[in-house]
Amino acid sequence: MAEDLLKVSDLVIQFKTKKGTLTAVDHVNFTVKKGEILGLVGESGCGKSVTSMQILGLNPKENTQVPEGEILFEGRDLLKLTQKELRAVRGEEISMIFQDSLTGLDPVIPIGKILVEAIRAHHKEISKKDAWNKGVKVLESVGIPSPEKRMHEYAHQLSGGMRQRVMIGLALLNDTKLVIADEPTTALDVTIQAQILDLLKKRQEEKENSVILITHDMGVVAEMTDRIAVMYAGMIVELASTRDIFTDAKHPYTQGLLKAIPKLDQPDNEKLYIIEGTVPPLGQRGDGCPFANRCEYATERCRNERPEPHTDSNGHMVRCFRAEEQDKEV
Amino acid sequence: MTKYIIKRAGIAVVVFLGITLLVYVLISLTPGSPAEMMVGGDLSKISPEKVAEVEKQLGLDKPVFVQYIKWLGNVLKGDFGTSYKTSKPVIDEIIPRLKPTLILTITSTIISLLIAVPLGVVSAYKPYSAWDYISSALAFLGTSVPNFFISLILIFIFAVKIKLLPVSGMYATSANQNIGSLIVHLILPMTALSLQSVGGILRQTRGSMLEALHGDYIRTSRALGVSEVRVVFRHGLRNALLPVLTVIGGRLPFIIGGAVITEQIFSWPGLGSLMVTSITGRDYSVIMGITVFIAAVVLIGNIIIDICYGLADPRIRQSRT
Repeated sequence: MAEDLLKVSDLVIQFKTKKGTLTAVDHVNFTVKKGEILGLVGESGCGKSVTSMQILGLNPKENTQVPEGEILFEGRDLLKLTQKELRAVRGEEISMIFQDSLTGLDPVIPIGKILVEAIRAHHKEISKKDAWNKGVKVLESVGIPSPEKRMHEYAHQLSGGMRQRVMIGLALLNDTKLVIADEPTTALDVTIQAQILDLLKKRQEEKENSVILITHDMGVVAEMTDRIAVMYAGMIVELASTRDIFTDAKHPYTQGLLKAIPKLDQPDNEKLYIIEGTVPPLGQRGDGCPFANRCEYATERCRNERPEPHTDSNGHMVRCFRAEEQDKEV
Repeated sequence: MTKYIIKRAGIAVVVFLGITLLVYVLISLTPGSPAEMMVGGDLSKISPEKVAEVEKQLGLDKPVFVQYIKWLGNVLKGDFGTSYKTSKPVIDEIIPRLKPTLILTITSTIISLLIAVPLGVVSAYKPYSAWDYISSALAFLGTSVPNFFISLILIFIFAVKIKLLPVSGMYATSANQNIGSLIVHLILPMTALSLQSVGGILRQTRGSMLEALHGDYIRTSRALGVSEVRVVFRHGLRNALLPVLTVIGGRLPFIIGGAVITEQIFSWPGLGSLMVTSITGRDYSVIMGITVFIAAVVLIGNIIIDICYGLADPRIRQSRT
């Protein structure tokens, strides 16, 4: 079994707002092993981005608080680092790919200068000229044609797919051990999506780094990941190997997500499956299971008591009373 | 870009003609005539025949539009006419006054930028902090208190009470025009003039900087481990500067207009004080000459701001080619 590279334990993230303190991430536990791709799945607002941003300390400082938990990266608690120490980790040991590459790249600075800046942020010893040449190589390695020309261009002059390649190039610049890809293909059209995912996967196999892939696309995680964590309303409700999630999903929410994938052999007159209802807003999540209001199996107990994580002998974790009982019966 | 600048210059010429025509007509509509001033003496005792005779000499008996065309024709030949009052060519009246005005307006614009932009950045970086509130209050004060009042307060404190700086003028003596003397005399009018602009520029810097700092590209830079100073200045400020340029461009006429009052108060020998004396003296040709110069300074200033836009933002530079 591979070693743990990242270990997130009992992480709680809260936002201070005018309406009081809201808990966006509620006792989240997961690990990322060396050389593994972990999928973090869930719908908008479930806390997957907030969790990943906290790893690099990128949530807005003025209103974010982390009252509990640890984020251990190679044994160091990232939550306890000073700003300076954290900056040394960002882009050098852990890097991040963001969703929207149009707004994600500085519009008034040429691509080349952004690359040079990112290289020299950690390696002052590399001259500007060498950094520039390295930038050209990086662009080439992420499949950008005529990279020398692109170095002089600005974000708005590139296509969406090209920009996302630049973003990936930036994240891979310093051979980081962990890459967090936050919906890297959401803003792209389908053919480009496949290319970008291919690129990510290829690079990961080459460098054997670890990846956290955040997405709401079940198709993407099926192809890319080794394990999947399913998040709902600030909690990880199920965590298992990709195979187990797709063949033996235990949480009703995960089952719903899988049922909601449109299938080619579906009869034309059959409606697409949807999970009825909406995620309870922050601050109105009550004491029970957060999914209880949408769950077809919900009981009185589900509405009043929060299920604790239950892990079976295969390491398949689920937070659901029903799944827990079914496991005992077997 | 060159094509764009030529287009802008063409528009500026049209605006320029409009301004001069408007001012020409407005002046001729004001009561009183330079002829009366030239004949001189008690207004009630002036004989209308004498006034009419002088008006005919000056060409003031013709329709306004004919007068304007004649004036414009001369201006295009470089002839701005002669002052009715001093009989010197208008251009000789204006040129020596242009330098002091430009010194005053340019330095005060630079000073207000040097004060307002850093304060705006600090306010945006720590919004709703004590520092933010203090600088906002000061900015508000500077913008809302009239320029002449600030000038008088400054004179009272620094020239009358502390006796640190001279009350007025540009040099200690006209014989000894050295740079040291100029700087000492410049401080008070420059401060008065720049305080007025600081507020607007500061608020704009704060606003656009606040927006820029929430940009996704700021997050990207931080995630790459770029230092905070570079994140704020290289990425944040560069992106925030464009709206600030707009404010400066919009303030140009006010800076020059404000200089008129400031120059009066500090007896600064610039265009402003020349303008006031020529208006009271109904010295039409000088007023028109000054109008031409002020309009030209504002229009050229706007074109420069426009070019700066292109330099600051590659997207604008491209859309113009």
